[in-house]
Amino acid sequence: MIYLDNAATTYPKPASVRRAVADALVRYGANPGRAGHSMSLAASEEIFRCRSAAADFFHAPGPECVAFTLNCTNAVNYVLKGLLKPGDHVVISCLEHNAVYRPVHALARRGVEFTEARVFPGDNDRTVDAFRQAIRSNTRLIFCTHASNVWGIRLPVERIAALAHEYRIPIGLDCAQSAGILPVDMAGSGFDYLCIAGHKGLYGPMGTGMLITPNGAGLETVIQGGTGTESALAEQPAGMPERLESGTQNMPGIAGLRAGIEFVRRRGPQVIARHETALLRRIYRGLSSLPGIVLYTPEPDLRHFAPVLSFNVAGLPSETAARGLNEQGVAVRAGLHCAPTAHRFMGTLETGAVRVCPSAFTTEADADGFLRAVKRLLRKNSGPKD
Amino acid sequence: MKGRNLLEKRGIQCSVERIPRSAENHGCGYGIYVPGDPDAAERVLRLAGIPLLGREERGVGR
Repeated sequence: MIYLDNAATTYPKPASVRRAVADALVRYGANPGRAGHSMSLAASEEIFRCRSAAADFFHAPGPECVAFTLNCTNAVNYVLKGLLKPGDHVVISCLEHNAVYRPVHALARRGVEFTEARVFPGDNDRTVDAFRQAIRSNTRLIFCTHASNVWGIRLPVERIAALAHEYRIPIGLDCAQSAGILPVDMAGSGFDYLCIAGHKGLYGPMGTGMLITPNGAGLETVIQGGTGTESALAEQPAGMPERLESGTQNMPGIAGLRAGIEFVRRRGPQVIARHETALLRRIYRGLSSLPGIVLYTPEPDLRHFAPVLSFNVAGLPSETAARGLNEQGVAVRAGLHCAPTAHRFMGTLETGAVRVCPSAFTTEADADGFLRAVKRLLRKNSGPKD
Repeated sequence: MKGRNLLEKRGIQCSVERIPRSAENHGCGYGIYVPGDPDAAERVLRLAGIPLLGREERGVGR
């Protein structure tokens, strides 16, 4: 199989991740952060090591700023619903995933207002200006994707953060598509909330995510429950990370996530990003030479794009094209990718698109094999119809 | 564990362990056991901005 659905979740996972998950089930089989016996404490230590690794990786002030979540969507919900109240206004971008778009719409029904700032691919000045224009006197938060999960379009988040702080507005980022690939410097750029998927560019298992913030104590909690601390109190503890971590943790997943972060650190996020971009450019050039292929974005470069690309086969529904590729052993994702706003932006809301995303493990042979499969699909599609 | 790591880096022997429930700590919590000089440990933790919820002597109570 040629797996190019890494934007959904990376596959394969590194051997070190698979080993860490299996080892955790044996060595850290007790509930972390609850009991005082040795295996429980050992499990807590392992979770703390992952917290520390994540804090270092994203330049967070400390490991206590890292709260583990089920996925990036949970982390986004914790921020939006924990911060925004009726009468507040939030600025989002026109490229958001439903992880952002749906909770914002749910909040809008309760009196929260929002504005979609337009993104101008390749023109960061205009994009930042669009965010500036969207700010109002009651803007309580700017929250946007770091990179579109459909088109790879990268937002100038460091500049948007500077803008937000100019107006004393906190900024949150959806890093689902960027963590582990694009640089994310919490301390250096002044990001207030980082929402991270553990199972994509960080190569952890599915069911892992993180909310990284020094401001967790100020968030209203979406979920309350047992934390293993201050158990006699009816109120959720104020301290991080337990404020945002109710219930038993995904111990094997977190152990795997730590191994994933170490894998990315060892290989180097910049090396991975360059590798993936080179492959995507190879794919882009191959696709652009084929009649009947519709491309929507310019040839990707890391300055303006994360290594994700979507296209269509003219006259063929995206789902049919993806099925045709699957029949040839190529795994890609078609449809709307849970991001209708991003498709509306590009005019593909009706058709969807076929998305391609390489990983650290994708090879040139995979890219060429994908292009051959697309050529066969085109030939088949251009043949006589029944 | 952040506090424990900090103390160990400063050469102060310590370990994380469960602490008995009391009116002050509301129970189900963890503490750092410092067999040597707890005053020095407390200074290190306070200087690092790590909040101290209380201090107890092992086996004696508060």
